[in-house]
Amino acid sequence: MATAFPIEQLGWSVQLSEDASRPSEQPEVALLLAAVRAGEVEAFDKLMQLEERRVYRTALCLLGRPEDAEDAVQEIFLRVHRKLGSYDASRPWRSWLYVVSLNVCRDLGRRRRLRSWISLDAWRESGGPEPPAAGLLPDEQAENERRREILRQGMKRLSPREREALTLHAIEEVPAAEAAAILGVAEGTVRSLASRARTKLTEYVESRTGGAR
Amino acid sequence: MMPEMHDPIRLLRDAPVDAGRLAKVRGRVLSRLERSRPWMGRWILAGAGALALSFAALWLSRTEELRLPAVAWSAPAPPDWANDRFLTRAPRGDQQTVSRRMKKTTEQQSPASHGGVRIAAGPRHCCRGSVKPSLSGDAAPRSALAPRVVSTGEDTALLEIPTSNPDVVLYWLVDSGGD
Repeated sequence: MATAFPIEQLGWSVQLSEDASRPSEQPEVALLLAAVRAGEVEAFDKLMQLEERRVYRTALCLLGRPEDAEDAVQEIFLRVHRKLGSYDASRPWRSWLYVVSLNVCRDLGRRRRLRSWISLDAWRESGGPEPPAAGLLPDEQAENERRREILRQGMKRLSPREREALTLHAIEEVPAAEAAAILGVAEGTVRSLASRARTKLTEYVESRTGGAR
Repeated sequence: MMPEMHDPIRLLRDAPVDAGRLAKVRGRVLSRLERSRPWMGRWILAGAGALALSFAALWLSRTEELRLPAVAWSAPAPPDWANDRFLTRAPRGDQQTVSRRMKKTTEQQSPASHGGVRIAAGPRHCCRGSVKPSLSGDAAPRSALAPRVVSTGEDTALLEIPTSNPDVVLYWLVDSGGD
């Protein structure tokens, strides 16, 4: 099981990615962070609006359920606000946010597993039938949502490391070096984890959709 | 055929996000932050108050300490005439006993390692009141601090002894019996 790791232990020698150092985004974030540190709640509101979609998407990929993802987003932003004093502004903001997000999702995932909800692993181990996918609806949007639900179920079958590597490197398009720094593994490990996860996911989708990938 | 399934990653990446849900989450976060703020303010106020109180206590204790030596200083010796008048009547044996007792007490309180400390005590056998050791010899001029008899009884006399501090006056009750 993946364990939470302190932010301070990360190697921060990673170069800023193109996205993280984007001039249109970084100055705005820097200004907002300075305002939040000065105690402006409105600035934190704007910062949340700026980052909430990415944070939610990450949490949803890692946890699998929208309700859990919402809880995670709330906890992530509360933790960001609480720990903002320990954030070094000379380092990539996005990486720091991902580290906080991963730690919160790991904590939340552990707590959820301890509860009584039946995970896909439990289904698989018990040899029970596959859980039903989302109800079929005629319109294309609903169909896409059903497919996404299959993908999320497939994500749950991955190991925590594979899921994290796939989410960061493939879905969030974080460069391998930056993702490696966030996860605390080698760059090559991130690539291989993400690749393996992608293969497993594709196989799962094929099995669920009868080869219509 | 499902074209999105060709790239499942893209499908996950482009998943629509319900803005209403996120707004609710944001509202919850902000309300939690707002709720935690007054407490923080109260803690800061309480801390500042405690700090101010401790500074005030420290300042008061320092000023008390500084006042003490002024009192201890100006305990002049009683006038010779007072000794002559009241002590000559006391029985010889009593005088010696009391004198020895007082001497012993003084030695116990201030052992030989006095250094430069000088005890500015009056007649050891017949005084009431506290006399503290003085740390140097620059006492106030004797003429300004001359004691005077305030009242006399049958066997006692009350002496008023001014000190260098105008707010402090020492009163000595001199007793012919040595008490």
